Amino acid sequence: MSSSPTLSCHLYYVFLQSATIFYILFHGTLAVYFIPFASAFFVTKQRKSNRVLPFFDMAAAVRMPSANQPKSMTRPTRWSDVVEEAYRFQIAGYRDEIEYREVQKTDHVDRWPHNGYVKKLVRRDGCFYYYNRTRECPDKQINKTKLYEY
Amino acid sequence: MMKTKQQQPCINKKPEPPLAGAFKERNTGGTSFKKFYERGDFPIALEHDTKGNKIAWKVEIEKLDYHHYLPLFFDGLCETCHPYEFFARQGVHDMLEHGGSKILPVIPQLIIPIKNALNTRCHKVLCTTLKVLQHLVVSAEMVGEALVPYYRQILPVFNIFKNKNLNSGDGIDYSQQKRENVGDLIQETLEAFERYGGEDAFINIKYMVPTYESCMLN
Repeated sequence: MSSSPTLSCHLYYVFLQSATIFYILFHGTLAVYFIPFASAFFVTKQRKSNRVLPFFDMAAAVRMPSANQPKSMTRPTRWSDVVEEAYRFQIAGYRDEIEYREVQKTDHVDRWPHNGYVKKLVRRDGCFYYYNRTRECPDKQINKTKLYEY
Repeated sequence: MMKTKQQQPCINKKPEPPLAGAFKERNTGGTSFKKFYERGDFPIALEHDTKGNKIAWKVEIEKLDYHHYLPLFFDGLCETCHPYEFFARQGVHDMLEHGGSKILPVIPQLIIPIKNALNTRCHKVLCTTLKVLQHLVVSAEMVGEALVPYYRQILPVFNIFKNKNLNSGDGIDYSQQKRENVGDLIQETLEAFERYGGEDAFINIKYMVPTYESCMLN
């Protein structure tokens, strides 16, 4: 087995790792790159003819992190401020505040000053929804509310 | 066979006086709210979803002319049919919740619709109107005190229904926890009037509802 292909493979891996570290520091999202980064350490020695580079797509390394799409969804069992927030956004037709800001292209959400609950939302068709100062989510809607995690 | 005194027809029976109808429900006819709603003058839309009905505003409430719309929504409190009843109730609630300082100048125009709603003597309308009045006095500053001069117009009906409580013995009165007991609602409303009405509120309430006792002085 010649050493130059092995050396070139290792140089290739070092290059990819440095690019990964650059994007991690720049974008601050570690989880997306953990799997391809970790797989680089588990490359076993193979015959030259059968050597297959581990999956580490360069395009994936340069792709923007997909923070807009949630990774998981849970159903709450108890009411809390987070559940109330999610309930108000989902009544208006949005997943949560992140989607609302993307769709409406605004960073401002009208909130009640004394407790921070959502006060007013703009629907996708332009109508307005107004919410009370106090809790609006009834007990029977708690487990129908969705909490998304990114 | 001679009939006993009990079997003899009562010849000297005096005719009974006609009923005054103080508790009888009265029809108000069509309201202007219904007419305006069918014409499409209100900037509202009804949304049906799995979470129930909700009202969507086509125009921001902050930009609405309260002098025009708020009395119309109050006029719709007399309605008992869907969707008029829901729109009126929810519309009033939203406008009071987000009105702020725009509510106080409109108070004089709200008295007639409130009086008409209370004069229907309908149980459902009474409950809705009493809850609206409780919300009205806490919606903005000085609103409670602004209502004091109008107590003589809206409190007579309170006096009629103040003792309308269900005597269920040792049973459970579910209307209490659902806030549909008129007697209890009247008591709550009068206490809210006294709490937010200022110094002259109690004496004016006592004048119209003599059986009311102060919740602040005692």
